[in-house]
Amino acid sequence: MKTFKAKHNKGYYKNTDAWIDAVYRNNKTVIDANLTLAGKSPKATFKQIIKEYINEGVKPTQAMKTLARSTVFTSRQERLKANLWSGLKGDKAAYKEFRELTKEKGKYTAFDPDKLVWDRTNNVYTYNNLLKIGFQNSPYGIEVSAL
Amino acid sequence: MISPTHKLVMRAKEAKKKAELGLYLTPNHVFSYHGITDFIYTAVRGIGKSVISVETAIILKRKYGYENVKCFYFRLTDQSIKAMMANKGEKAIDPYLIAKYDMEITAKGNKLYDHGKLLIEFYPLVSAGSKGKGVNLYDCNFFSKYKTEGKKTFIVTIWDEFLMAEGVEKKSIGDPVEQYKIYKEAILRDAEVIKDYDAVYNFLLANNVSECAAVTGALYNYIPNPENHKRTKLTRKRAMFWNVPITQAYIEKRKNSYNANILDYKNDVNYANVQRDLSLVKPKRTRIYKVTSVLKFDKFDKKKWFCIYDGKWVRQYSGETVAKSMYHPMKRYLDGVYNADFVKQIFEMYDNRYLGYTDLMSMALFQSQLKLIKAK
Repeated sequence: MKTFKAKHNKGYYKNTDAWIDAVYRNNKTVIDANLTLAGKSPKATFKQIIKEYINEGVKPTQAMKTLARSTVFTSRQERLKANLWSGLKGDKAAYKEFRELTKEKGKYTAFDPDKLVWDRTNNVYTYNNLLKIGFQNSPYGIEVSAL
Repeated sequence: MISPTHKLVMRAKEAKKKAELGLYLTPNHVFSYHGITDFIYTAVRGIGKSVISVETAIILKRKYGYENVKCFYFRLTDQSIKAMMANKGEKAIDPYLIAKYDMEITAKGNKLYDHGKLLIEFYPLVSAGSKGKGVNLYDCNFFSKYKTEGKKTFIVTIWDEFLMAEGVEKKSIGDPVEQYKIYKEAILRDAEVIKDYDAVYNFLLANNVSECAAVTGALYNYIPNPENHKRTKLTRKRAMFWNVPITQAYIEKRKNSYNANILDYKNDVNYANVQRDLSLVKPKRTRIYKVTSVLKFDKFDKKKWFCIYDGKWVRQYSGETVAKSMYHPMKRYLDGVYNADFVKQIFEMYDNRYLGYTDLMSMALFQSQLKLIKAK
């Protein structure tokens, strides 16, 4: 999940409290299913987390992003994909090569997160057992090649 | 920066996920500790204790070079070592690890090789044939490679299966704890603790807490609580204890296994949590008054001496001064008057559950010492 949003922009609501309530209402099913803490309702927990972030000087929209992208709402595969995408974003050639190598019967295919595996021993991603992607953020470097 | 409530929620979700899906241990958490050298796991069978301990050595060997990592594997008897090394060591390493790391296992003597490179050395702890003392396993230049050449070197020791299953294996000569200490001395000697990285990993693996009480009591002066499934760190001893909880996923998997028809997973100590017998431990309000005798199981080691208070309560010796006549050696040749009838009387008192214990530690250590005499 990228972020939590309300139906309207933040400025539409009376104050931050009302906006947080609106965000909760708009994402009720997801939040209720995942945000469980003993002795507290999901809504109270959600509001408390966002307020704690705001009190520490984080922007309200950034707080929503931080919560939505944490391990509470994302699966391991989603996080792997997000990491890979952040690497591919910086290099158009690498991204193109990735698209070319994942073609099936001459056609581009949609990205399937379940096919992505992190090879811990070699520090590379492997996709569909067909290609490997090694990249690091600092210093930035990405390399896509067939297995 | 993560907000406190957010952190709590993340932890709660992780715990819930582990309880529902957690089937096997992984070596990730071993590497997550800094400054801890001894990892003591008590967990049910088939959860991956032995696998993660060997995997730790394999990961280190593949990353830092086979010659820079030494791995020693201890079992109690030489029969179990022989069984593992049979047919060129094909039963020594879990097939899962062989497939995962693409290994080619061969064996020669008590050593196991992967693609011709030394992987693990196997040693029995309690055996008439091999003794750790006097064996030269220590290399004084091994750890100094880090200072001189900048190469990180590691030592991994694994002691699998603390005590023999009662009645299944025949007991042999010697005290396993003493032998383990002697082997550790032979391997590490006076090697100084390296603070830059964790160079030593010692694994001690047992199936349940009651099984490990005598060993952990003697080595770390600590007995884990079977109801506590949190990881306990003893910082000064550089040890981490984990009584791994049985997950719902594990129970479900066992229920659907082929063995479910013949094994009793509810009551078998190897698969279920065991309760401690605390009925012989002294109630808090009961006072002890006077030492009536001191039982000696060793000539010099006062950790193996026990006081009997008021003719009933056994307590570890802690420097009590008593008349010479009160010292009773439990074996021959301990520099004292050996009275076979008195020893027999102590055994009878123990067998009839007359003796009580002032604390858990005394109970575990006293029982293990009595068992060692009985084994002979």
